[in-house]
Order: sequence, then C-alpha cells, then structure tokens
Amino acid sequence: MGVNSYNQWYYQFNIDPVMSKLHADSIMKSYGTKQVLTDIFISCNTGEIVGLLGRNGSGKSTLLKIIFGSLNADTKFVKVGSKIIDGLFDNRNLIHYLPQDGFLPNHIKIKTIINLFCKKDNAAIIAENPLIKPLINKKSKLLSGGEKRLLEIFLIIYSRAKHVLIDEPFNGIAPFYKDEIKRLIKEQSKNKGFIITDHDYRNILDIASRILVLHDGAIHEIHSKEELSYWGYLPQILP
Amino acid sequence: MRIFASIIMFYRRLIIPSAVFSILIGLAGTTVTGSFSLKYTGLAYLFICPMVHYFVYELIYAKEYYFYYNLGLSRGSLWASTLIISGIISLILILL
Repeated sequence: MGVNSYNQWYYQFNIDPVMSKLHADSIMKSYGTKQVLTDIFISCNTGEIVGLLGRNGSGKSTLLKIIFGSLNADTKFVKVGSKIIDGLFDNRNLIHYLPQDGFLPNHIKIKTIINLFCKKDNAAIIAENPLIKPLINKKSKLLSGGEKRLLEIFLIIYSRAKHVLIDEPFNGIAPFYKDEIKRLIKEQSKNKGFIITDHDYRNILDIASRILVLHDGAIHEIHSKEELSYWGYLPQILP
Repeated sequence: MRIFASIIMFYRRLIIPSAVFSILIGLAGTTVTGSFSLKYTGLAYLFICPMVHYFVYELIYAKEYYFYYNLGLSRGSLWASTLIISGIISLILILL
C-alpha cells in the first residue's frame, strides 16, 4: 500500500493514525533476578492487527498487562496519540485488555454488562448478534465457559477503546466461532488497533498485519514462517 | 456516570453478605444490651463490609477486577469506594 492510498484509507474512516497511535517503550520487568522484559518497544496504529507470539513464560501476558496499566513495570513509557498513559484512569477509553482467564462479573445481567462496556450503537450490534441474543437476559454465571469467552471477545472487540489488547482469544472457542471472531476483528480494525497473542498461531497469522515474536525478553519483527523457527517459537524443520 | 454505575455494580455484591453479618452481630449484641441497636449494627457494617470485599474480590473473584479496570477503575479506587460507601451506610445507621 502506497503512502497516499494509506492516508486515503484512514481519512475515509475519519481516523488520524498518528493521533491515535499506541506507543510503548522502555518497558523493563524483572521477577527477582530473572529479567523477563528487556527494554521493549512496541507500537500499534489504528487499523493494524499486531500478532504477538512467544513461548510459554516468555512474558507476553506480562507485557500486555504493563501496557494496559494493571501491572507495574520496573520502567515504562506508554502513550496513545499525544496522551501519556500513567494509570488505569488515563486509559479508560483508550486501551482495553482481555485477560486469558476472563473477567465477566457473574452477578450482573449480560444486557447490563454490554450497555456499560460499549457505546449504544455497538451495544445494539452485540445484543442482536445471533450468538449472543439468546444469552442477553441471563447472568454470566449461567453461561458455559465457551459462551463466556465468546461474549468477552465481543465486548472487547466492540468496546469504546481505540486500542485493544487480547490475551489468547481463541482459547476454549469452538472452531466454528473462530472464523467469526477473526472476521469481526478484521472488520473492527478499521476503527481501532489490536495487539493479539495466542498459541493458536495459525489464526494469528491469518489476521495479523504485523507479527512480533517475544524471545529472551526482546521483541523481534518477523516476515516469514521460517523466522518463527529461527526465534525458537516453532521447532526447527529438519532437511 | 459510567464510572458511578460501575462502582454501584461492584458494590452491589457486597451489600447482602455485609448486611446479614452486621444484623447477626447486632442481634448477638442484644444478649448484652437487652435491645437491638442500630448503632452497633452500623458500626459492625463499617468493619464487616471491607472484610467481605477482601474475601469476595481478593480471594474468590480476583479476575473480575479486570472488568472494572477496563472501565477506568483501579484496585485502589475500588477499595476507596468500598470504604466510603460503607462509611456512609454506617453513619446513616448510627444516626437513625
């Protein structure tokens, strides 16, 4: 995509990619003597889907939590556009995060949760979705694990935030729904930026506009599947 | 408005268990004072509600904090809201 068509694409959706760019740098985090993240830089424009891959324990969830603001780092600098994010209150309509364990309060009706989390038009879209409609008047404690996860993904994709961090969206989701989720993420990426991590890396490769691998506390941008093996994410292919 | 609604939603889960334990303590107090006292019930509520908060949100449903984080509420502000609302309810009960 050339620069002009890139700009035209953004202006078509009334989005200024620079004004809403997520920028995080100088992120360092250690647990005891183990340095998990070493001077990380990561960015995400509106319209981008950044796939973040890495082995178990490589620090993916830690990195997302630090960017979101729910976990303290040794050092960090996060901003969206020109607004410096210094805490959870600062990022309330800018960055949202879906943890891998879910977050739905189980004492509240789904309808209330949707209305609280999303703007009116997006709340109506979720409420009318054939997958969610039958659940709308239930409390989340009555939903199955898969239904809860599906609802959480809908909430986060259609949330008010300009950037969304999703930790393992495809975990516990039936293959039938995975395609729908990928379609929705692609569709909504016109309005926001996504940073997604999942061990189901094929689904990430399907939708990501950029792939990053977290290895030994550092981030590496990759351009081919072979590089996933080089950085130790996939096993080496023997000749 | 959304922040206020989120705090109410968060606090709703604490009211019933806190009220039940406070009333039980108030009733237990009748064996000493001879009559049911709203003052002691209110005082009990002030101490019990933060304990219920700790038990419910820190021990059982800790992952639900992320829901409120996404609405712009930190753990500290949720704890502060529990203390403030409990204080107001206790004060009302004590002054009745």
